[in-house]
Amino acid sequence: MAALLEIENLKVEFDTWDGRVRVLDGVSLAVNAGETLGIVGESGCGKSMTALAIMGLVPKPAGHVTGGSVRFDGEDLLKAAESRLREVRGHRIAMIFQEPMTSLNPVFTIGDQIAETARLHLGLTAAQARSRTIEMLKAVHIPEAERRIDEYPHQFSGGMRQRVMIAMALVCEPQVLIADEPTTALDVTVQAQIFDLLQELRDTRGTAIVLITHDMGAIAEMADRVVVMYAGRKAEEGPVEAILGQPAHPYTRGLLACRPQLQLGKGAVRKALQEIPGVVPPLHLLGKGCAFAERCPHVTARCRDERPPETGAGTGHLASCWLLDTTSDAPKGRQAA
Amino acid sequence: MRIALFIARRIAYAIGLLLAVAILNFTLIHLAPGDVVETIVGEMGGASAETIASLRKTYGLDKGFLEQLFIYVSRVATGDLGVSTYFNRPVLGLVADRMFATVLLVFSALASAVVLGTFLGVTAARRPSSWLGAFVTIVALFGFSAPVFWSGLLLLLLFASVWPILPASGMYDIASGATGFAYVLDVAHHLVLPAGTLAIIYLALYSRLARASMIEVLGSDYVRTARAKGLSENKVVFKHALRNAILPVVTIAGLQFSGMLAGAVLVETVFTWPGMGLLAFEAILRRDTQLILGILLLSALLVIVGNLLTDLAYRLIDPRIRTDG
Repeated sequence: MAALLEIENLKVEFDTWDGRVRVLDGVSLAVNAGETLGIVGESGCGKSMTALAIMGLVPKPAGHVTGGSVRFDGEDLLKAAESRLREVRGHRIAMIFQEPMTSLNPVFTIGDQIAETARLHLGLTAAQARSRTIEMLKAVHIPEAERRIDEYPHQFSGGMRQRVMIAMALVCEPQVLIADEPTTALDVTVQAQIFDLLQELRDTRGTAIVLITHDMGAIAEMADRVVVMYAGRKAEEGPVEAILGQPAHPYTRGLLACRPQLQLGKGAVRKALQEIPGVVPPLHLLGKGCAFAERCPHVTARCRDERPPETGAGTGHLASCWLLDTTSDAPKGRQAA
Repeated sequence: MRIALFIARRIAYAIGLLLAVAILNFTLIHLAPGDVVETIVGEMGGASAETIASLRKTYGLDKGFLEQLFIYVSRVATGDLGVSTYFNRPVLGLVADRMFATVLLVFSALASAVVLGTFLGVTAARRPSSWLGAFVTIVALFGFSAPVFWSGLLLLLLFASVWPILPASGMYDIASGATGFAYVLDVAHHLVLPAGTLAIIYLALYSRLARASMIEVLGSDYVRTARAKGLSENKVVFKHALRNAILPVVTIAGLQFSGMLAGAVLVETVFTWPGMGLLAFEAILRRDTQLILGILLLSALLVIVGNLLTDLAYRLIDPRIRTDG
């Protein structure tokens, strides 16, 4: 069975002062109904650009989708007309953003903003859209929905605004929900509530969720499968247990090692926070080899010269790393970092 | 209602403000050298000391300053603005006649500058690197640099002489004696040139302002949200973005309303538009103290009303203002 949303070999380029830069380089991923796919990586690795490319919202005129396909329910959205994309956006595929404080329009009531989507795609009357909106506000656990529907975004807290965003995204019962760092701007306690809410909605409505984050904790809690991205490329992909338990790519191991550990009480050792040395290289300076080569503790000459292919590392587990290539070079050891 | 309370409070402030303006104006005029009697005597070619003294008594100028001030303020408080010495008519009626012409001129100019300027700015913002963007920038520079009386004369030459499709002066055609709708059309026809001249400067400013503001808003997160909802680009721009982008234009337009009243003096002179500016010019020349005071007081009232309207428009557009009432 083909996946609900399937991205293959997606390439996106941007015009910059340094010339044309490839911000997504051959990204492939898939998500099924009722499944949560996590996309992880550092800032600037192409996570959000992947989401915008799915929605057909790559910023113009600087950005260009130069190759690949985005198949949704069998239809290639990259080849679809703008009018068709508008039917899909907000209706079949919806998105929530990182910044709940600024993602709602300050001059319209939250009720108007949610109802607008429902009227646009479902052809509801004003009264129907209003009752549907109240229903959605209740579904995302906003108290006193009947009263708060007529309030403006500035009258809501950050967590409540993100709930409004989720209600807006889900009002048409989309098949795919893309959540781009939905909790990054929120308090930890509010984060947990939002995750609970997303899980509840996935379980009751069978929505496929693409969760974009840089937080491995969020991945552990939410995702079924994980795609790790680095510098516009896919580094590793696999079931969440495999990615967290037996990471195959040195970058993934590095990311996992960077998580702060909580240790309290007697005998607790205060360890310095770990980091991956170096920074993500400017995309226009990437060499022909592995993008992670300059920061990798296991780098070889081959890593700098040749780009590693995707290699199997277990059931449904793939990583692009020469360390996994057992045919030519002797494995340099898969010792845990 | 909260809005009624807001307006009531503003009216209370306005009364206090008008009182202060009346006192200040009277004091300033009193401080200036010369008075109406000197002008009359000058036109008579001189007069005896007794005549001058009796004239001063007639106009109440023989009393002390504080007494004159008290008499003036208590008269104003009852709505009596005095009688113009030159026109020999009550000041209130004289100014009210002219005020309509000025308000019509300023409002038409302001409204067309805001609407057209915003539209140009928005269009330019949607295609920042197109020829239209460059065109708006050039027109803005030209409009903003040219003095009103000069651009007014050029427009007058072009549309009243070289290509005579618009009347050169006045507010209506005296000969035609039109009434009703024909009169309205006639006034509108006469209004085009003066209002257009006055609008040019502000058109330039508002188009630049709207363009900058729109470019910023189009890059905002809520515009991205609107696009992600599947709204058409026109809806994104004219519904979601415009209402946010127009706030700075409304602020500046409101602030400039009073400036425009002053700018209208020049335009009214160039096009012989029978407004308050022209009247003020004459009143100052004739040392017509009561008329000058009346014009200043009613101009202050216009500015206060203009500011109130701006604040109301602002509250209407931006709900965040409404909460701190």
